[in-house]
Formats: sequence, C-alpha cells, structure tokens
Amino acid sequence: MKKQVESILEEIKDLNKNLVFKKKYKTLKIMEVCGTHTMAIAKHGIRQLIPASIDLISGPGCPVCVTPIREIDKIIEIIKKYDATVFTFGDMMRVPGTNSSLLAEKARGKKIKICYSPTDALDFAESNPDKKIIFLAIGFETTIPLTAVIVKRAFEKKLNNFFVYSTHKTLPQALNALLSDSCINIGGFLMPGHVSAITGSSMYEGIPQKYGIACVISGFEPENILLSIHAILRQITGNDFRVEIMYKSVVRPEGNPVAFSLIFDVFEPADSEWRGLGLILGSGLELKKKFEGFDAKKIFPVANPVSCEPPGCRCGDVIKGIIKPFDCKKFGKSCTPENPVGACMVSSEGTCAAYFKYMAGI
Amino acid sequence: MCLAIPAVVKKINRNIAEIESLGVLKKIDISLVPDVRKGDYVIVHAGFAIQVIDKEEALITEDYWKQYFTDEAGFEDNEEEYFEAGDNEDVQ
Amino acid sequence: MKDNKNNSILLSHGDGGVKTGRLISEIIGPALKNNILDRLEDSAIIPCRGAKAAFTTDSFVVSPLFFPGGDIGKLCVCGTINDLVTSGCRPAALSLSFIIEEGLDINVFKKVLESIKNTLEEAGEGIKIVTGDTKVVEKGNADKLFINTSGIGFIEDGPGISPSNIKEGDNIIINGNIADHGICILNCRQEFGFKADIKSDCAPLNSLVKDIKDAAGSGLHALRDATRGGLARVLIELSGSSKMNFDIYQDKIPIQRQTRGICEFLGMDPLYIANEGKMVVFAEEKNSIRILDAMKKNRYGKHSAIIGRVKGIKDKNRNASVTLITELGTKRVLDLHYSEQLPRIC
Repeated sequence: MKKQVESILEEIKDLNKNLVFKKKYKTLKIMEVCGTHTMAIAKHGIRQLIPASIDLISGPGCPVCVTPIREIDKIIEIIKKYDATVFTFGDMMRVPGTNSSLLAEKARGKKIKICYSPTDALDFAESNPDKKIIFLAIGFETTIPLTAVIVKRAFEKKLNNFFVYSTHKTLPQALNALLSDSCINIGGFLMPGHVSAITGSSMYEGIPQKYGIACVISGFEPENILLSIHAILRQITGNDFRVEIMYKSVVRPEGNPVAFSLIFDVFEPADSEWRGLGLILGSGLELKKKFEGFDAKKIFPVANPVSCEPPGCRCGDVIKGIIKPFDCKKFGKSCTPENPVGACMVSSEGTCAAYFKYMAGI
Repeated sequence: MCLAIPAVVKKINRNIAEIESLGVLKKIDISLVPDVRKGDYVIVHAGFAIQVIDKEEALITEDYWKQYFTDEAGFEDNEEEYFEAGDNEDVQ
Repeated sequence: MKDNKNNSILLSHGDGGVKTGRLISEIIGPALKNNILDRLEDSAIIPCRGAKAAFTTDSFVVSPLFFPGGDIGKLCVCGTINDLVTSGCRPAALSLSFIIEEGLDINVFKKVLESIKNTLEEAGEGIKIVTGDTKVVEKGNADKLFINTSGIGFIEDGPGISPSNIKEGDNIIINGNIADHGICILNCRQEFGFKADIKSDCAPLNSLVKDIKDAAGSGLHALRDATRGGLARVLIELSGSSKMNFDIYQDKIPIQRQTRGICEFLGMDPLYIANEGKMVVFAEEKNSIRILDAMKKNRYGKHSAIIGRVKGIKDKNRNASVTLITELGTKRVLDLHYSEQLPRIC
C-alpha cells in the first residue's frame, strides 16, 4: 500500500479511537451523497480499511435510482405514440418501467440511441431534419448545464425537430428533505465532488451549523475519500462543523458561475418526485416558457400511465441510510442487478447494485 | 453521481477543444469554461469541460492526477492533420 | 427464464454475461443434453477410432467487417484455432460457412478470403480449410457478412489439459494487454468520436500454446482463451468448473494506456471487455517462470504476466469465487456482469 494512504489510515484510526473513548459516538454514520462515491468506495474496498465503528452509508445521489417509474413509462408512451427517436445516456437504458424498459423497447426495434454527450443528440437532430429527436435528460447539477447549453443552441439555430424531456433534479432540496426526517442519524456528509464543481460550496452552508453535521466535499480517488473521512473526524473532534473542500483541484468555493447561472437561464424550479423519497418541493427543473417549444412533455402529451412502484421494495429506506441493502428481504433474492425490483439495484452506481456487485462473499 | 475524467487541452477552436486523456484524443465542448487556455487541464463530463483543474493544488493533495499529467500522447506527429480533417463537421 | 417482462432474446443474451449463461444452462442445455455437451468446454473431446479428436464451432458477426488489427476473416480463423488449442490439441482442419447479405461488394468478399488465407499462413502447422458453404440472404436479413467456422484437431499423447486439472498453488498467467479487441471495435464505430491508436489483439495462438507446452512439461494444467465477456468471465467460469478460488492482483493485469483511457471516458470495466488473442494459462508455480519466459519470446506474448494464483477451498459449502486484490490491498469478488456494458455518465 502507498505510504500516504497508510499514514492517513493511521490518523483516521487514532482520531476514531479517541472519539469513541470520549463517547462522542459508538458508531459514526457518514453518508456519501453521490452515487459515484458509492461505486468508488465499493470498488476500492474502502470499508475494509477504515475502523468498524465508522459506517459509510449511501445517499440519494444516483439520478437513475431516484427517477420514478412513471417517467420511464411516459417516455416509452411517447416513443410509441409519436415515432420519435430518443437519445439518452446508457445509465437509463435498463431502468425498469411498469411493463418495459428502454433497452427492451430498443430490442423491439424502437429508435433509442445511447449517447456519450448531449451534443450528440443535437447534432443528430440537425443532420436529420425530417426526424423528431428527444433528448431524455437526466442528472443533477453536474449534468444540467450541459442540457442548458444544447437547449440554448437549439433555440439559436431555430431547430424545430429537437426536444428535451427533463428529469433533472437538484440536490440541496433533497438533502434538506433527508435531514428533516427524524429517523436518520448522520454524523458526516461526503459531499459530491462534481456537483460541487458547478455549484460551489455555498450550496451546503447552513447544514453544518443547523444540524451539527460535518460536510466535506470529496474527490473520487481512494486517497481523496480517506482524506475527506479524516477531515470529518477532525471536525467532530474539534466540534467545528463547517463545509470543507478536500477536492480543491476541481471545486472552488464559488463553483463554476458560468455553468451554474446557465441552469437558471433555461430552467425553472418545479416540484419533483424522487423514487424512494417522494415529492420534494422545488427539487425538479422544467424548461422556462421561452423554451417551451423544446419541451417534450408539452409537445408530445401522453395520458398519465398507470405506474406502480414495486411492493415490498425498501429503496426509500436505503436511500435515506436507515437500512443497509442486506436488511431488505428482496435484496439478492427477488431483486438482483439482472432483474432489478427497486431503483437502487438498477443503476450500476445504485447502493444495492454496488453492494451486490462488490461485496458479495466478502 | 457524475463520472468525469481529467484531460489536457491541446487545441481550441471557438467552443470546441481537442483534449487528451491517457493518450486518447477527443473533441469536447468548452462553453462552460470560457477562460480555458491551451495546456490547461480540465475535468470532462459527458463531452463537456465542467471545470479547469488547479494543477498545483492537484499535485499537492492528489497523487492520482500524476498519471494524467505525464504527456505521452504519441499523436504529436499527425495531430495537425487530425484536427483540421475533422474540423469542418464539428465546428461549423 | 425469469425475464417475465421480456420474452424475447436481447443483445445481452449474447454478451457472455449472466444472460448468456442462463440461455445456455436453461434453454439450450436441457433441450440438447448429452454427456459431451454437458461439459460446456470450448472444444468437445470426442473418441475417434482409438484417437481423441477436439471439435469446436463458432459464429462471427462483427461490424465493421474490417478494423485495425484484423477483420472478420482473420477473426473466424483465429477464434476457431484458439478454441481448439485450449484443449491441448493440434488443429488440423477448419470449415467455413458464409451467410452473405445480398449486395455485398465482391471485392469486400475477396478481401475477406485473402485475409483468411493469410491468417492460415500466419498460423502455420498445415491447418487447412477443407469444406464450406455459402448462402445469400435478402438485403436487410443479415448485416453484410456472417461467418460460421468449425474446427477439428487431434489430441497428442501427453498430460491432459483441462479446467478440472487446475490445482491449488497454480499460477495464473496471461499473454498480454486486455480489452484491446472490444475497445478497438467500439472505437472504429466512431459513435463516440475518440481518436486512439488501438489495434485488435486478434491472433492465432497455436504457436504460443505450443511454446507453452514445450516449456511446461507436465506443469501445464489448463488453458482458456478470454474472448467475449473478457478476462473476468473466463476466470469466473474456470473457478466455477474447477471448484477453486482464484486471487487476481489488479496491478499485475496488463492493459495499455489508451484502452484504459477509453474505458475511463465511458465508465466501462476492461476486465469485462472482449479479447481475441488472449490465453489464460494455469500452471504449476515451479514451471511458471520458464513458461512466462517462453511466452514473452513468442510474438503474441511480449507483455505476458503472472496475474494471480489458485487458492484451495476450505469451506465446501461456499461457491468458488474470483477475488480481485486491489492496489490498496483490499479485496472484492468478481461477479459476472449481468448485462452488456453501456457507456455511462454516473
């Protein structure tokens, strides 16, 4: 193991020992808000390195996982009814709707394309003026500015065959909803590195003081995650709760103002349903009136599908960090990555999928 | 969420930059980082640069970046040709 | 099968992951059950008038037909030879069966034949195409050209090579960089606009296997070419069939920088990406340095490396598994990817 990692681990162990000794906590719950952190933690086996009294739990930061079944059902309805071509990220393809998924519809010959960048969808629309192109937009603050750029560009170019179906969501509202739930007992947050690269650290101001929770913005490499855990322990030791950036190479206090302001040029807040968390006020984004000509929800109306969330699924409690995937009766039995029941098993970065893939048998 | 990787900016043509990461070249959109310069390192998410990397800061705290900062692209010879050949379709 | 919502075959049924396994074990296996097929080896071993013959078949569909480092013609010859040599046999003869989409340029077809001829020369050992068939289907009913190849070889006297011979303490060796073929094909389709100089590793490995056998003596226990589903799939399958645990050291797995680069752009795991010229070798520890040296001298083994070790199983109730030891010294169990890998942003 690298020397640097070893020395961070030693310090983590010392700080933790002291905190347990001083009865600050028996078990410290640290929530990684971001799904990419969940993946990195599982992939590198970080849990095996840190003391058992530090419990890493996963939060609501996987956009695929929190997209409600209804959205999938609706987009499939639109494809069927209007003969449109849908572009989306690979992440969305396997998410099960009530009766189907985008991947299954693609197998049946529907026009669904996987893109690496939203610009791929726009370029395709430009070169195929006779086709209707819908970009199924998903993601948090990291990805929203990208959609904003292509909507503005489509507007400037006066494209009339390009549309966006927004399932975009914003994180701070979800964090506040989570924190107001009395069941949860979180001692520290690992805040998402790339969302914060756009929003800056001011988004989270207020959380540390109000709730007495250490908030550390972390990068994604093992060393960086360990340094961030270390920073959380230091804040608890000193009773000095604040937003701390441990991913300074990418995250500035002010974020990326150009990208952040673009979001609100194009979108306005709306209430949004989160799979597992329910309706959260002001946590979604819909296109502003100026851009309504690009809004797939308005241009391609479909009846509200009869969508049903799977019974017995405890994704909500997993996302809130109240239970571990192992505590759900369906986990690994009727719910597996191949046949996911709940949202957390669908995305490769979903908590349950990460547990299933990387922690089975250890 | 948000998979993003570090890359170095090799060339800039309006809102499109050619970047290199681990020896792979790709054109990306730089509208979100208007002040970026050739030689800067950026963090790339879904075909867009979302932030410029503070290289000094990166080397202090994050050993991991080093592999990206060694420039051994191996494309130096025909780099010109590539950018110009592909230029027309993307940039117009 | 359990896919109650989708009763159709999906692409993921052919990608070498969990669904492929299910298709074979739950649909094909039960329908056609017999004592040879049930072993599910890349080559079947059949008794043949006192000798033992190895027999295999494979179909090739690839788009584009031509790619850096190979083409569908080279692919079909190499794939069949490589399947044969994993049984330890000397390949003798191949069949070729073409399914051609109406409208295919005759020059394209000639180029494929030329490549088949060149690849046979490259493989040497007198391997011949001895029979074949051609069908043409209406435009739209196939994608340009599909090839099916069968191969037959004869097993010479000597120590048996089979997954069932894998022993505790064996070293696991691979003959070079992983994931080049899959990433090369993805890159050639130009859907994502990367520029990288990645060639398919497509190669006939009969000479490599011969060198391995010569160097190993009785120390060679098993061979398997790691194709669809990548290195991970082969290891998981062999761990299951040999009922042994494998430890694999992540930092020892050879991969070239650009291939890793594209994997990182798209969020894919190179362990699960296809190869077409990679042989995984299980050999006694005391012979493995000699084998490694012999492999490195072969043109298809310059970057060979010992990547892991076979561990016994103490608890017989637990399934055998493949554990990846990360650079941090932590462990994770490799799982068969449940579905084809799609580029992701999360």
